[in-house]
Amino acid sequence: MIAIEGLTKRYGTRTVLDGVSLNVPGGSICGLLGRNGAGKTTTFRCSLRLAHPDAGDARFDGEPLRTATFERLGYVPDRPSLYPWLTVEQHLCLASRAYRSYDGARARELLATYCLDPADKARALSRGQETALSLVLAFAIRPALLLLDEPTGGLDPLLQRATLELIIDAASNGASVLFSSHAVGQLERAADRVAVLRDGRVVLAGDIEALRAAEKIVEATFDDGVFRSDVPALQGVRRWEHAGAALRAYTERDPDAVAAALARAGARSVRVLDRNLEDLFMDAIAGESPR
Amino acid sequence: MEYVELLRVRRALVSFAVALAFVLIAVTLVLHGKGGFTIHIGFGKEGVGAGDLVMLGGFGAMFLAATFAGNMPGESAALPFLWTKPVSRAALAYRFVAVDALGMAAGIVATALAAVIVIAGMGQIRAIHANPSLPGDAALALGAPLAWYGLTLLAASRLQPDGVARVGALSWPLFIVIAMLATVALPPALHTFVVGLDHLNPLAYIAGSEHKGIGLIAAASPVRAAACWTIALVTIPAAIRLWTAREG
Repeated sequence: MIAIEGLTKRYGTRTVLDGVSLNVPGGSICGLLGRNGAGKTTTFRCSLRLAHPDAGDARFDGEPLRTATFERLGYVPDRPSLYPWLTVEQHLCLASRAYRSYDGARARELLATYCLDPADKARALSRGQETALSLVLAFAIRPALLLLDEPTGGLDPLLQRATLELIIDAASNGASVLFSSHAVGQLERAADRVAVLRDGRVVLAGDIEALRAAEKIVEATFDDGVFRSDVPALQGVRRWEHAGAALRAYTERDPDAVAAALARAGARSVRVLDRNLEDLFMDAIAGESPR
Repeated sequence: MEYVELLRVRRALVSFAVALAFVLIAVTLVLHGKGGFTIHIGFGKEGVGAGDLVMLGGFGAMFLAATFAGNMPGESAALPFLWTKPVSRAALAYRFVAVDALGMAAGIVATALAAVIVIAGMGQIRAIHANPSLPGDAALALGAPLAWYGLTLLAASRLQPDGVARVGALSWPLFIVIAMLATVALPPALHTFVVGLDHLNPLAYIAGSEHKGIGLIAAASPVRAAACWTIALVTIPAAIRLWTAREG
């Protein structure tokens, strides 16, 4: 269980994190979403005390972060943090000396999965290979806690898929996983929970299925593509959106009633859709200007 | 995690040994007249004290001290990797220092051994003898590089790698200039200040002697050793405290 409570971090007068709180129970994968500079990496760094938070704390399995916590915690930073002059093999040797829980056979398997040559020096690795080595080091200890800051950065699509499977596998074995990515589709596939950061604040958090179920999209297509003046008067529609000839209504209650009303208003076709994670994310950051 | 430092110190010692080997070859060639001239050295009745050889080793180790002091603060890019391992930051730092101290001790032995080889090559091996000041000299030979290491580490502990490299490189000219300035006539206040600084200068201690010298600390080797060890024992923990409290 990862429990982050009220993390606040300021650099001078700039507040980078403003009371960030989130929980990731055992066996759960929490996707951390946010635009660049929203505070995702700082959340990881403050949780692990790589940066000093001004307030708040992170607890792991109910305990504050201690040296012993790292025995069961795997971390992949957003920028691979390796020794350029050491080989892949030497990095593994370093990990094997540091962790009692290090599993050499597992590390070999992972090296094969990521097609890494043990004799290669870290400075000769591509960005994707550096990420891969960080993942090997994180997963070789069979961690119960995983903090993964953009763990698929630079990986090819096959290795991205392999990584997602590793993450899902770890969670199915009981690990708590906090996983940030800009690839919303990846998070949608792997995560069961989500937290969206905006300007250092959590603006949306919870179980993805519950969040998706909380609101439906009713999509109606009109022959002439004309928006009917009587449509917006419908009860329970929070927001309307135009997409060509289609009109989308976001409704929290009784989508069937909205669908029926749209059909009566002359829609050629009407369908009720679930919101996807991208919809949730876009809604959560709605109103933010492009950076 | 001291494994990284062991690898790094091993690499530095290999480079140091290669440099020593070159010096050894050059000295041997010169002593045997291969350089177009011959130097005759006699050690007289006093011979060569083992303590002097160890002190020479201390000079060698100071080159290593300047290099090693940059290793730990130069880690900043790897801190997220290093500091998320189940080893406390302080334990990690002290293990680094222990490995570096062993590396400096190896540097002393290697340099002293090189000197012994040169003396043996001159057929004067019997001139080497144990002298009463050997324990104090040995303590000074390790204490001075450790003091150098501690001062440099303290100055570099919060810096980024570029700054760390600069501090290591500047330590030699800085300590030499301080020792030199302590010898020249300066306004009294400035002179007092420079002499005060010179009392933090490991070079002034190791190059000093029991007799009053210019710009160098005049005291018996155990006293100078004690001063160097004090500097080391104050600066190294202070540097570690700063390093462990930085952001990774």
